[in-house]
Amino acid sequence: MGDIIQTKGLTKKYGKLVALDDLNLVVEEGAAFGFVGPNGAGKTTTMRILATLLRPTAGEAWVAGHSVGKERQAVRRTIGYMPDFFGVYGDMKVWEYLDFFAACYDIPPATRARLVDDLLELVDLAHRRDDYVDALSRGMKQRICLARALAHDPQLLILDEPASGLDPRARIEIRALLHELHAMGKTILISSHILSEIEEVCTHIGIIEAGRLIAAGSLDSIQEQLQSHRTLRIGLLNRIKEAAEWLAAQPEVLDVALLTEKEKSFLQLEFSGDQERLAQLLADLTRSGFAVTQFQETARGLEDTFMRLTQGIVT
Amino acid sequence: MAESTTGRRKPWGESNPLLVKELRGRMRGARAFVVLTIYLLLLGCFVSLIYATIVESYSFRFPTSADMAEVGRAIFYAVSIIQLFVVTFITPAFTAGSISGERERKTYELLRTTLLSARRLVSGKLFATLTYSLLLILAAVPLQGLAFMLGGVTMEQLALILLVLAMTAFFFGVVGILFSAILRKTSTATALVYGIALLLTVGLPLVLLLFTGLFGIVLLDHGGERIPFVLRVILIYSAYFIVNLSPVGAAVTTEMILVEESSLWFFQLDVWNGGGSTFIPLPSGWIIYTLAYLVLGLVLLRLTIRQVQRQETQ
Repeated sequence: MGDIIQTKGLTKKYGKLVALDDLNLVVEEGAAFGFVGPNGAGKTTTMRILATLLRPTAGEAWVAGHSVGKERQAVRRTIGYMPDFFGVYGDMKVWEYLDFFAACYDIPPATRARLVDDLLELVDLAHRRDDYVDALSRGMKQRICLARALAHDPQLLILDEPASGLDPRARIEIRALLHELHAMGKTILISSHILSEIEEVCTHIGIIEAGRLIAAGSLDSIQEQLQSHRTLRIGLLNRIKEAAEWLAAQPEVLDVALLTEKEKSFLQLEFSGDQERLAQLLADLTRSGFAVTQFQETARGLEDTFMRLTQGIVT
Repeated sequence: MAESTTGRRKPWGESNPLLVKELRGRMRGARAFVVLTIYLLLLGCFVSLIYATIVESYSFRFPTSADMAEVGRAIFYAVSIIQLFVVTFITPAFTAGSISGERERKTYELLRTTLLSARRLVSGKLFATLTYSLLLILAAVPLQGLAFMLGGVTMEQLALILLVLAMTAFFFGVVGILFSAILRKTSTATALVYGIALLLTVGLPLVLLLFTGLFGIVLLDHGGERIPFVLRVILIYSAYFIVNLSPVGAAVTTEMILVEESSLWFFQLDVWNGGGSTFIPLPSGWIIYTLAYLVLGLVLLRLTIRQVQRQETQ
């Protein structure tokens, strides 16, 4: 699959303030790309440039091969954009709202009625079809806005904090919807402050701080790159103290600790070797006659990765 | 008809979903009909009052057809002036919030990321408002028709006032939408467009009245001999043009020429040239007004579209 988003040296300045600084971003088609960064890092600015709402001071961006600056209409056909703060036309009925936006995307009237019903089905609002938009809850408005962004069947969804300000149930519903859209083959560029949410929804992430892209890639690869050593959890049937001594004597083992959790003892190991050395360690351990019941690498969460990478700089 | 992006010709309403949305929103519920009903009731009461007052003055004798024609004219003038003010102040009130309101409601960006062009956006907003203003104008036609039935008013006069009203709605609607595109706040846009409406409807005639009072005789008669004739003609044309930029001024000059010169188009003004009289032709007020407002309105409409396009590329 090709790249659906590509930016080269993207820079945006507001007077002396540098909101984006030489941003080079690539998002593969079909990815669910989480855009993570502190407030004021440049996430919304990047998304607004990609959505044709803002011109960069320097650099260029392409969406599905179309220049964001020069082929705005082609880009608009390709994207579905949902801003972080948006209003709705409260005096319209739910179906009218979707029908209106579908018409704004030049979808012929003959196909609009069916399309509106399909979109309402997708976002689980078919039962509110004839209600006024103003009567919907915040979570429902968020969903109707997402349905609006899907009216023209875009390849790419640009969603700026789609779950902000929602209650837990509404967040779960939005997350489920995003999973469904990703499964349907949509590429999703999503920004969120809730890292656990990004971790659950996204296949790739980009971490941005002070207008600069610090890291980007698949979730696993980024975490892999960051790890100077691995933390392992090893469970044994017996001879646990002997095993601790044996492990401490191995060359790439930095530290061994005997821990107890829920009346069960296990060893926690800091290991500086790579994947091959890790496999070798397990093989040596069993060859030495230790009955291994658990040999697991403790995963570092996105929060940990984020904290390691960012310094809390705000432009 | 308009060209779709797929090359298919489609009806105008279909090509501009914003127009359909705005009209649907404006006419939805009881509000639009209540406003229209109250407007017509007030206008009807006013017409009845004029009719009763004038007819009462003839109580000592049976009114002749000439008297009834006078009643008809009075009703026609009164309804026309009221409609002129209603259209002048209601149309920009709607358009002044058309784009700034979208920004304030945070719906503007959603529109801007669709395929709706700046031209379709501005024309959709403008024509939705003009349609409602046109409804107000046409709804009052039966009341003006009453004047027509009583006599003293010709079909041409009725057609002319409708033209002037339509052009007023168009021009002030465009001024409102221009301010709405330039300014971020609807309240500021509304205040500014009302300022301009007041200046043109009230301020300009007052200034011109003062100007005519002070210099009118000097320009037309022997008193102006010290001013070269050509300069005086230029001054007369300029003053006449400016007075007809006001809807009230244009209505008054048109009526004067129609009544006194029996002409809908032109009249000859007698100006002293030092050795005798020279007649200079002056067009009727409605011609200057409709042409000036049409051209100005179209220029401002183009400016509004460019302003919206410019904002798209910031």
